[in-house]
Amino acid sequence: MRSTTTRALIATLTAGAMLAVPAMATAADTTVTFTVASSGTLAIGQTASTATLTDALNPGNSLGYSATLPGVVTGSLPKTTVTDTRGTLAGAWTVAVVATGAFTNQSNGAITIPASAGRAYIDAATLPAMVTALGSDLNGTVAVSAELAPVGVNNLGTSYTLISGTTTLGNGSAAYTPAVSVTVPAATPAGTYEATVRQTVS
Amino acid sequence: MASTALAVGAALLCAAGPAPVLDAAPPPPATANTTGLTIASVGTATLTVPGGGSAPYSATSSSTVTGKLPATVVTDVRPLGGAWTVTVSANAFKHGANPAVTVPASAAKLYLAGATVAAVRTTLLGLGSVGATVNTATLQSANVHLGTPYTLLSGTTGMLGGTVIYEPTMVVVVPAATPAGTYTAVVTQTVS
Repeated sequence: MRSTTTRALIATLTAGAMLAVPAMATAADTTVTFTVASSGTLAIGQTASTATLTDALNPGNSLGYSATLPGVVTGSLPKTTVTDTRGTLAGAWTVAVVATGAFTNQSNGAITIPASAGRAYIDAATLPAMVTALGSDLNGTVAVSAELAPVGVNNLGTSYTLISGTTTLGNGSAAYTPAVSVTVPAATPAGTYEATVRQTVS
Repeated sequence: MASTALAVGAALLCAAGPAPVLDAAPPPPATANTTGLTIASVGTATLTVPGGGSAPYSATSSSTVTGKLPATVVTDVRPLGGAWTVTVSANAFKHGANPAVTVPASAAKLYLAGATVAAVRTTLLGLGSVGATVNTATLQSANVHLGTPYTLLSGTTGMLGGTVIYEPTMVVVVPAATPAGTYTAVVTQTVS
């Protein structure tokens, strides 16, 4: 009798559970998720490693010596490309520029022009055209802000932001050609002066 | 026991015959009888690359993520049983931070892997029988994808009802240059 009662109770509970289980629906929705992880790189490259500046008033020629007046030499750094393959939906990046040291006379290292006499900047007129996008289906687009001439006030003596942007939809690149100018103080001895200008992307 | 007694009573009421016709209104159009045919799946699914983890971003190469959906239960308690079909579809996978960025549903497939197919034949309380068949075309055809509804599974239930439980496998080919982030879609299985 005891055994029989137990079996009947189990049968009743089972039947009750069966009645409660079915969700009376003819459609079942399942939320499915996957993740794509950022795994690319942020890189910067140049088409060359040297640049020569010439007299701003007489392009292509050396600056003449002057004991009383400063002069200005100008030119362009090599074409530079920032390539962002990090895959982020909105990946910000910044290119900082600085001269690693003073412009040094190549015959006498003790004669220098301070790095603060130099500027690197982006020609405002060329900015819209210098931004390009790579990729095919999900192109990267780059919105930029930059150190522009004559607005910019920074100099190569201290690192500053030359150009910055945000890469959207995963990957993209920005190619630009920085302009450089150096104000050569009066009475700077004749000679060839050299400095290293470094661009760093982060 | 109480459930059984009610079932017998219902059968007797049905056997008493149709109610008298009081007017000449036309009968409703014939439709498939799906009363008693249900489908349920509880839970969510996370897809990973083989071995687990997120798909790595690549500007040039696609990657594949896969995983199992929760167990799906088709229950058929229609008085006479009959044929049924499970159709699947999905919306696009949307980026969690920017829903405008999507992976199309056409990049995804839902199918029953071989090992799972063997488990679909079950019975309800051992009384009914279900003959379920897998739409093998979904395993082979490149043209079948969740962007367009298709038949995942079909079967026939015997007169005493039946239940089929299966675990679909999902695979998504994540296109190259898909931005990093978490993507979510809803997969719908419909039984009729």
